[in-house]
Amino acid sequence: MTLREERLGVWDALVAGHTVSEDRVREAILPAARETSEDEKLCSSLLWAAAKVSRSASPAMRRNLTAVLRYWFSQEGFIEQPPDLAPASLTSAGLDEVMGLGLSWPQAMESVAGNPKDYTALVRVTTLLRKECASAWREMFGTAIPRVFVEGGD
Amino acid sequence: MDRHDRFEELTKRVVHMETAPTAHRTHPGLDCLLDSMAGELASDSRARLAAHLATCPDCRQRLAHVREKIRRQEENLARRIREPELASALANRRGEVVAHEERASESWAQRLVRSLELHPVRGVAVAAVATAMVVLAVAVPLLRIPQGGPSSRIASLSGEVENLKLQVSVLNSREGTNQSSYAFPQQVTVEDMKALLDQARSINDEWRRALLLSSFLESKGLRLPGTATVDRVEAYTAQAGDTWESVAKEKLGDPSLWPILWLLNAEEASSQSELSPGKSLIVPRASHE
Repeated sequence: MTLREERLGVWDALVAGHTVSEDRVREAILPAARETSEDEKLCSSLLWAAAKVSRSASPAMRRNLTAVLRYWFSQEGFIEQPPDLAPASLTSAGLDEVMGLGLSWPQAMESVAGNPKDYTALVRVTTLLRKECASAWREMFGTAIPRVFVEGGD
Repeated sequence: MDRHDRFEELTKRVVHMETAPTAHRTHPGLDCLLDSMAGELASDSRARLAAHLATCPDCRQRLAHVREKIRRQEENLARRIREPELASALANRRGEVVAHEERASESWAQRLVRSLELHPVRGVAVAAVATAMVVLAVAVPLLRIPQGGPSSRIASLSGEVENLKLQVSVLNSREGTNQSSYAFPQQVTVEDMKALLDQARSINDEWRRALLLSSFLESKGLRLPGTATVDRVEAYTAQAGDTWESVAKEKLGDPSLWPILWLLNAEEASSQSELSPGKSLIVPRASHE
């Protein structure tokens, strides 16, 4: 499996709402530590951050994280005649089920039995992920943290 | 663009890069897809398949079709499972209706027998009540039979007939139709008729005279039957043995209506009390002729 395939395996578990162990994430990510591609490092740091949130955050924040990931990944991948599924039927949906659905934020929240009107959850999760990304970058790569991750780094 | 927006843009870029389609040399078979849907794949196989599907639009489309087919088959299966329940419910309902109809068609004796079979205590009580009713039904009429012999009994029956007549006349008056407003004719004698005729002759006004005669007939309950009318009359030749009553019975259907015939033939009738054979009379003609 390529590094991207390894990461996608972890993304799939996170999108399905599962908790991914730190070992598995290290296995999927650390080989990329020596990679030179900045994009690969960004992908790895975001995955590391998401996996950490899935392990350490409160249950509500973990649920919100799943909704955020489903919201993001559902915007990718085209499907002819996407199935007209009720968001509530996506309880344990993985990447292959979510991709191409084009979920709205309320639908993404409904898929995790959350409050569909809670738009602040999206902001809170992304803020937390950004902080974790900075931490992950520092831990994994030790190089200068991208400004996009740094607080007040506009 | 603030820090938050820039981070969001970054996440979009990351997701887009991670799921960018890739040219794969091999593709998962149908069994693998079905096992995945059934949750029977090992975690590493599952991760590998997920990675493949995320970057292979064709396989993702194939899996979407398989999912849709399975969903439809599950719906059909669920419908087939429900159908027997519906059929069974209908059969039960039909059974209830048939039982209800059978109960409705039972005689009172069958119902009594059925109740005895189902509820012995209640059956005994019903039998006791029925016996008491039979005793009362026999004993009470015996107590009420008049003790004066056959003549008393005939008098009693006459009273009952009078009561029935009264009830019929009340009912007829409620009906309000011309034909049903029937009153039983009262006894009229030839002397009554002659006195009436004398009174009528004393009245010069023909309308008042007509009013007097019609009032008399009305007061005695004498009305033409619906099948006859005095507007159209016909001749009748008296036969041997004819009386006013017999002719009235033959022409009007009721012997007690003879005064009407008598008034129609008043000039002849007043001169002789009985009909003689060969005498020509005027009688109402049946209206249907």
